[in-house]
Amino acid sequence: MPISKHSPDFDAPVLAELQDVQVCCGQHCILHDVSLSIRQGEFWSLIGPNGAGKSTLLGLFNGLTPFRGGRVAYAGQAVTARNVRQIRLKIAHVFQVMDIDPRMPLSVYESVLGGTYARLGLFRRPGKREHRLALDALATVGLADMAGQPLGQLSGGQRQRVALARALAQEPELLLLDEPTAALDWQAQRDILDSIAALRHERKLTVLMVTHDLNAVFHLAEKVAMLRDGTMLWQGKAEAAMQPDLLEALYQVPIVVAEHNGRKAALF
Amino acid sequence: MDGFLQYEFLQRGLLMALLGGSVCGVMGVFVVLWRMSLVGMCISHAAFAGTLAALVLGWPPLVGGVAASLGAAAAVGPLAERPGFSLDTAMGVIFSVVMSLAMLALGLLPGARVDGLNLIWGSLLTVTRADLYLMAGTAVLLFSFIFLFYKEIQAIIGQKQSALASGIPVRAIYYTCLILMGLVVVASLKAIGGFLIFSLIVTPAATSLQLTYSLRYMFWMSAVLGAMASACGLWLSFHFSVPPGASIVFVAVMGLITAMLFSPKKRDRTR
Repeated sequence: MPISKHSPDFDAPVLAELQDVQVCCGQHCILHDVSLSIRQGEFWSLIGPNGAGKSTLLGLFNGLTPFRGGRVAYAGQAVTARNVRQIRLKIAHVFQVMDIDPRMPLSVYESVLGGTYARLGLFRRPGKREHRLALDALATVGLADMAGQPLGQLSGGQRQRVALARALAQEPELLLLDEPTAALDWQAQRDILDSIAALRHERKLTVLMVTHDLNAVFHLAEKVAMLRDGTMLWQGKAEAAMQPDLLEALYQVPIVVAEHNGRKAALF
Repeated sequence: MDGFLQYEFLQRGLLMALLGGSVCGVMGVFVVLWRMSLVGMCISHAAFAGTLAALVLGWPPLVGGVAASLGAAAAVGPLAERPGFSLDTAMGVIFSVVMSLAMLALGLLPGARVDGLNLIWGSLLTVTRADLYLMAGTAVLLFSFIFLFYKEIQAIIGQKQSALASGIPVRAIYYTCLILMGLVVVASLKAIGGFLIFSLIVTPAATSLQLTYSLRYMFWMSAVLGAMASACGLWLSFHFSVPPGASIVFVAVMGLITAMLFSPKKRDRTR
């Protein structure tokens, strides 16, 4: 079933769900009774100011964030310590790109192939299938010709694409993206966003993307969730989210929404 | 070789140097690539302190060393895992506590303290058959660990969070590695000495990091460099009557400096 941006399939089953989830670190709570329900094939964008708890929320689905109250479910199954390893195999998490030592003995190809290892299981060597997955993933992000390069020598944008390829090689159902365009120049941002858009349609992925780039949100996402101070401020369709007063309440700065050739853009 | 090998104790010493050098060299790859210098230093010196404490209490030194390094791994490992936690201060404190315990144990040792002093400076020449067996057993464990979990080890390098999120048992592998480090240190203490053991662990791996982009080669190269440094160091110690641990580390560090000067990776750093 083809999924296009403006016709989300409302009958699709719920893939990942948060119900009144509370995340606390000692006395200090980071998320307060947050609920979110992501249907199969949907592209969600999670926006909000720094420290709102966006990355924390992302880590709930694959058990990286321990939670105190509420319920986290994946494909109808509650996420628990016992089944979290199995669930992690189906969820790929792309973290913000970090600097790595340029001397690291790890090639781009080896890094991407690593995405297949968890599903392959212990004591098994990667075979034809895994190598094909890695090559396909590298081609999808447009880095097939850099396979042999040491990972540490790539630019930030290229490394972010490698991380994306690694996530794809995992053959996930749900893709979690944590600020995939942070700290990248305009062209690199564009490359990453194009890759995400392309692979999402190609592979019918469900996506949850944390970002500060409002224009990317409205370009790619069909659903938007707004998080402020650990509380869900608003969630709904992307078209409805592009309202100055809503964005102003979220970021506490005056925001203007402009339109150019039918495309909306947020200005501050 | 000018009479170097005509004595049985020297043959045993050389065998220990080759075996221990390669084991320590290989262990170092984890320390260098997983950024566990501080954690590794705490664990290896805890093993040292534990062995000394066992001598004082009249326990088998092996038991004391392994117990102390396991204790240190249990204490330090969770700290190192916390994202964003600065290890510097905590490790600095733990390291000095561990060293003071080692010195305390040394002070409490009755008699001539030869065993205790040997554990500090190392004495390849008093290596026994049992020491060799222990080292060989450790080598088998370490090399099997690498062989069996090679792909997981590679997946964790430089991208621990992603590996964990994708379902790789990062924690189990990391703690196995810490336990193996404790074992490696205990097995090499008597030959190399507690003060210098960590240097023999880190230096060959740091040298091979200068020379290769392949993890496989890095493991092999570190093993060979560690074994070479140990054998050359032993030879120097025999000829110049200096403690073998010191001469081994000296040779290893000379190797590192040479590799840094002529590293092919220098040219690659164009970013």
